[in-house]
Amino acid sequence: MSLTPFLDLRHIEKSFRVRGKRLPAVRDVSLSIREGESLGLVGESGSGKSTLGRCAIGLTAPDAGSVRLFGQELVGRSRRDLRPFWRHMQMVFQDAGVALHPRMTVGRNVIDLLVARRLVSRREGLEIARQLLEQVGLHADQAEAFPFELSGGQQQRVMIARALAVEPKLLICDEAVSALDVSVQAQMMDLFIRLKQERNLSYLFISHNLPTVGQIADRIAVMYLGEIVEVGTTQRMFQKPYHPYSKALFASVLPIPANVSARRELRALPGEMPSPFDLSRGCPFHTRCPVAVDRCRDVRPQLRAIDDDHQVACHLA
Amino acid sequence: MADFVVEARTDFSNDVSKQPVLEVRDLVVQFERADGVVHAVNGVDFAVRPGEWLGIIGESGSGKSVTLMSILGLLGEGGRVIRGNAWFNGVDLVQLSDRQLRTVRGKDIGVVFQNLAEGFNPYLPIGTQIAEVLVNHRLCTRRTAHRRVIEFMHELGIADAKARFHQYPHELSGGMRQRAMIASAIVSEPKVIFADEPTTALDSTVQMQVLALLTDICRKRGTAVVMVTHDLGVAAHTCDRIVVMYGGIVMEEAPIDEFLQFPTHPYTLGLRDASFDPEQPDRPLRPIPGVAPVLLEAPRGCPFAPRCHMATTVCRERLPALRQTRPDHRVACHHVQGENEHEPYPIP
Ligand SMILES: Nc1ncnc2c1ncn2[C@@H]1O[C@H](COP(=O)(O)OP(=O)(O)OP(=O)(O)O)[C@@H](O)[C@H]1O
Ligand SMILES: Nc1ncnc2c1ncn2[C@@H]1O[C@H](COP(=O)(O)OP(=O)(O)OP(=O)(O)O)[C@@H](O)[C@H]1O
Ligand code: SF4
Ligand code: SF4
Ligand SMILES: [Mg+2]
Ligand SMILES: [Mg+2]
Repeated sequence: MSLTPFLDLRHIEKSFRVRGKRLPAVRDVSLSIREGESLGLVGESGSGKSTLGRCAIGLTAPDAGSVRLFGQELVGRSRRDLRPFWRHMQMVFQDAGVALHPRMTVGRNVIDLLVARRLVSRREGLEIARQLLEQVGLHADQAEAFPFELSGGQQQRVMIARALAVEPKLLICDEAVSALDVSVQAQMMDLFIRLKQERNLSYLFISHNLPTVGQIADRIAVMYLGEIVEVGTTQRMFQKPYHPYSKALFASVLPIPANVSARRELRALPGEMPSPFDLSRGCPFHTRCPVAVDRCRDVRPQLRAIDDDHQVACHLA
Repeated sequence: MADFVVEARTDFSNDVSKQPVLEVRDLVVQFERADGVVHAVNGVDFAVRPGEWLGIIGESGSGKSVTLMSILGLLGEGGRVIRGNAWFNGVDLVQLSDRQLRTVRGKDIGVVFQNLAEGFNPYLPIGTQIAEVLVNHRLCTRRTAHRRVIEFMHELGIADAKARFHQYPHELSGGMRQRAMIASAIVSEPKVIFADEPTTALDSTVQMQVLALLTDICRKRGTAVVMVTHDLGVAAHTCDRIVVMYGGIVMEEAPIDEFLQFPTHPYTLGLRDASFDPEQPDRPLRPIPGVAPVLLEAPRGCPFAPRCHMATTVCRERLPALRQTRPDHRVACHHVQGENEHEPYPIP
């Protein structure tokens, strides 16, 4: 693993306008991924993970901040100028059903980027597609099928094959294995880990499935309401997360009990979700935090280092 | 917000005196394709009783979604129910016309689709679409519909549900869309809910909240749920019974407690080896070797045979029948001892 930052996001801000009101989706987020490193991105549903991923690859323009790939600024470039970068950075989208082209065969979808950029002929491309489909646990002959003829998990694997087709250096995976049964999931994670080892592929791995994140990530960042509230090494995050939200998140993974009487109680986090339209003051988690103190309501905690390679945004950390 | 607390459920709903609300018998579904016929579902049986929560787990491509979609008449082009019944309220849904089915879908059977794009029209605000379900089925006035949808969205942990109500599907995060879909499946107070991977886009804390709410509502209303999930932890905490599918066939069926304590089918055991267990975090996850088949012809033998370490000649030649191995526990495997119920009918 080299130390040069490979992908570097600095002070990213992104808001959307919703019926005249401003909805901040990503608030002053900075993170960087070194070559060959994998960063896991987890957190509350709606906290801005997909938006951040889309900003990183240039599909969403941030309102402020900078995105650098190998030191070159991506913000401000047109789609056309971004294309050469997509050779190095690919994204597996959360909604496979929408991201695949419905009228193209699966094989054509897989090599779409290669053919569009005239990197291969159609015939060569099809052979590549067949090989990639086998790598993701599908049959080579499924290249001839159309996306709607595939199951949800099969479509998701076609997305993975498509992203791998250009042999990127960085893969942004947005819930890339969430629709797969556990056996196929383990198979995909083996593939990802092998590519990481063999090709030094880096990942921004966005997922709600904490065990799979734990398998691939070197470090994990936790998001809540548009902010990163904690970043640390995978081992530390699993063993001892500091932020009260991270604690709740890691503690809520449902295990497989030995029998019915060993089931855990299902209960929601107490407290009211704050409105994302109105986050002016205090810690974004204070309405639900079990250990909040007075200061939490008024002062927004900054992300700060509590240890080497571990940062937390909490007054009590 | 209410702090939902649901005690771990025991098998309250396995009350045998209750008649099933939905009973699927020997369902066979195929797709015509240029290069042949895809044998997606090959004789599936299951039943759910009021208030019961049935979990379907199984290999990607094993026919879970197709089973549910065929019952709702949503197979799309080339798809056909070749054989079988789906009894609901004394009516066989398989025999109904599309028009008749439209009155069942959304009203009597709520649906959470796996593919989030299928569930919503991209050009209409999400809340309007959900409220539409209520208004179209004349379940309440538009005003009441709006109020109830917003209440549900709020209870499912969507902050500012009022503002969200007016947003378009693409303006919501994946998990918000999924929760909006869950809201749309429960608002009409259906008798049965089909939920196809309902929590894949939710983080663990929101997932808890959604499952707590759903189990609570379904128990109060006596709603039956058929949930497809690959998350064994989720299945174990919500389901009363489990059905395991592979190659379009039910491989194992058991009450949840049986299933957790005595998983039996070789495929089921393979799933357990591939699952993460927080109690043993360092155990390597072993995928089942090999690739699932695409069935372009009717399965002759056991569809799992090419990947099964126990397979013998008989496995490759004869489809195993579901047999009772322990009380209320059925397994389809030639090499598991059990009492014969009936041989599977040949698949056309
Ligand atoms: N195009 C858009 N227009 C308006 N709001 C948007 C748009 N895209 C995202 N948002 C909003 O931005 C916020 C963050 O959404 P995002 O999809 O990034 O969340 P996420 O962390 O990926 O959530 P999930 O885990 O549920 O997928 C949400 O409040 C969402 O409604
Ligand atoms: N419209 C279609 N045309 C042809 N084949 C289809 C069609 N829809 C589904 N199939 C095939 O039927 C089989 C069963 O698909 P189904 O969607 O039921 O799988 P699933 O069990 O839901 O899998 P997943 O867990 O990946 O969602 C698959 O092999 C799929 O390729
Ligand atoms: S800053 Fe205060 S409210 Fe926020 S997480 Fe820390 S203790 Fe809780
Ligand atoms: S019938 Fe044979 S191949 Fe099928 S699961 Fe049993 S032992 Fe394995
Ligand atoms: Mg997302
Ligand atoms: Mg499916």
